[in-house]
Amino acid sequence: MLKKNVVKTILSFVLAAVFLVSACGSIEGPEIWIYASIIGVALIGYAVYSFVSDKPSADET
Amino acid sequence: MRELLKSKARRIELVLALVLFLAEGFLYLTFRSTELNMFRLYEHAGPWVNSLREWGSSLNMPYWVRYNLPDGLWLLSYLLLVDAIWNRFDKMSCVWYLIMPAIAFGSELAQVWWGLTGTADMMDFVCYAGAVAVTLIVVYSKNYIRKRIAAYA
Repeated sequence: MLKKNVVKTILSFVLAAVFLVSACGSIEGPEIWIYASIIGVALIGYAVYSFVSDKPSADET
Repeated sequence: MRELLKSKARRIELVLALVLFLAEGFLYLTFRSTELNMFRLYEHAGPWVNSLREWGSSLNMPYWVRYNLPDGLWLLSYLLLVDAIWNRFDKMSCVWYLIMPAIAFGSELAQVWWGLTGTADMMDFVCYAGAVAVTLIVVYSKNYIRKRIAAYA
């Protein structure tokens, strides 16, 4: 079974991606998608780092 | 009782956040320029968008409701959803809490200093700050109620 924090991290990533796309939708011009892609890649990196570094919390041990 | 409040508070946050997100989308669709990227998606959505915009143009909405409030609603909606997911601010969750406020304030500053597309507006800062303040009030209220219930249990 997936750890609680992993599920929360995946949900947070999906949420951040949806809001990032919606923010790009509210701006004129295509160049904003480049900045959004950079932020998206950084978020993927952070999510992966969270999975790798996630230690079981006190209530899970 | 504690668990019930926790889940009830989360459900309220989720519903409120979705309503705010839809309200934000509604304001953008009704009142904002069709040059925005989102209208590339909506140009295939049918005539209802045009009807909505015609109706919107007949209303005399204040400037800040059309141009600043949607940004605040967007940020508040995101923060409430993140709080519904994590229910706590710690090392694991802080990046998810802070990323959108950082993007929101950062994009406004980038519009001022580096000429990023968009119109830098002081009222945008006010609306973003309002969204952060409302989120802090919600988080502290939840913690306060939880502590009171724990004290009586």
